[in-house]
Amino acid sequence: MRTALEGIYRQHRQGLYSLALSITRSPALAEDAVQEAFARLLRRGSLGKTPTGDPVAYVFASVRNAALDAAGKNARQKAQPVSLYNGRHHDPAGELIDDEAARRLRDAVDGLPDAQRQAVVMKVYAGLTFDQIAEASGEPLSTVSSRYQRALVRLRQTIGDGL
Amino acid sequence: MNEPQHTDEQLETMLRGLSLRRPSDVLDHRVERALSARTFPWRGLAVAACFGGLCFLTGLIVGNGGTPAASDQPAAGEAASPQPAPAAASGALLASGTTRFDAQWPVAQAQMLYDIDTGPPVRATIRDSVEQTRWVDTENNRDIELTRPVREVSFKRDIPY
Repeated sequence: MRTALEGIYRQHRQGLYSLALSITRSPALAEDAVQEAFARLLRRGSLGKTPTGDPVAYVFASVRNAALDAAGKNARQKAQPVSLYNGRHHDPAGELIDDEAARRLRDAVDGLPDAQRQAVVMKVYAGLTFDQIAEASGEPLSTVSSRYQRALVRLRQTIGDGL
Repeated sequence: MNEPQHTDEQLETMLRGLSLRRPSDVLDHRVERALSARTFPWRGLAVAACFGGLCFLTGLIVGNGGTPAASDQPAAGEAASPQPAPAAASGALLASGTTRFDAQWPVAQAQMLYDIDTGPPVRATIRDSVEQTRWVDTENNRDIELTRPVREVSFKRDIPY
């Protein structure tokens, strides 16, 4: 159990943190949420029973719930929401995107509705399948898929408007 | 309108090119602590203790002829029988361990004189941490957690030149 959790944490550390950050919008709360999620999982003593029995999706669901709890408890604190990104991008040749477009894209992702932003983070940055995202979100596959597509349309418009 | 249209793959590639904010190194330590905090199966132990206590109590009642102990006096010949009151059966709290993780360390390091006149120079370090203690409330089947800040000030002698 512990070994499995450690393995999932090592493999998905960045994705789990980004998901928590996309919900809490605070680096400190995001780290609290990830820690709390793993503590809860260990207390529970098993990786639970999900429809597909996917432990990765279960861990993501746990982190998501912990992040939602943390965000709810700190809802009264009107802190400035923190971006998912640190302001740089890896495209030195500027083939796909220049600095200005990257900035617009970052702002667009940060400005997505919460559910769409979570879908983008889990799909693009955590590398989850739609099945896993649906399981982690507790929503139907079709909902998750169409939500992700709507997010891409919105981002595409942002990029298109800027070029 | 002839706006450039990016495919889903291109857009995902662009998104992956953006540099994500990374978690601090402390997170690894915190998760490691979280995963090692309760390797002992305290909950199972508490349930087993409750079950054992109930069995013991049932055994005593049956041994007393089926009467549910109308008086506190033991039956004849059972003067030495122990009271059926193990801690878990009575709904007591079982301490399940204490975890401490650094909140900030070190907060400050400074050289100072321990004794302003004659004492050797020492280096003072303040270490802030958070101590979490957990209990298992067997009566209500819930965990209780107490978190308190701990500040430790340590002095280490500096070697004078």
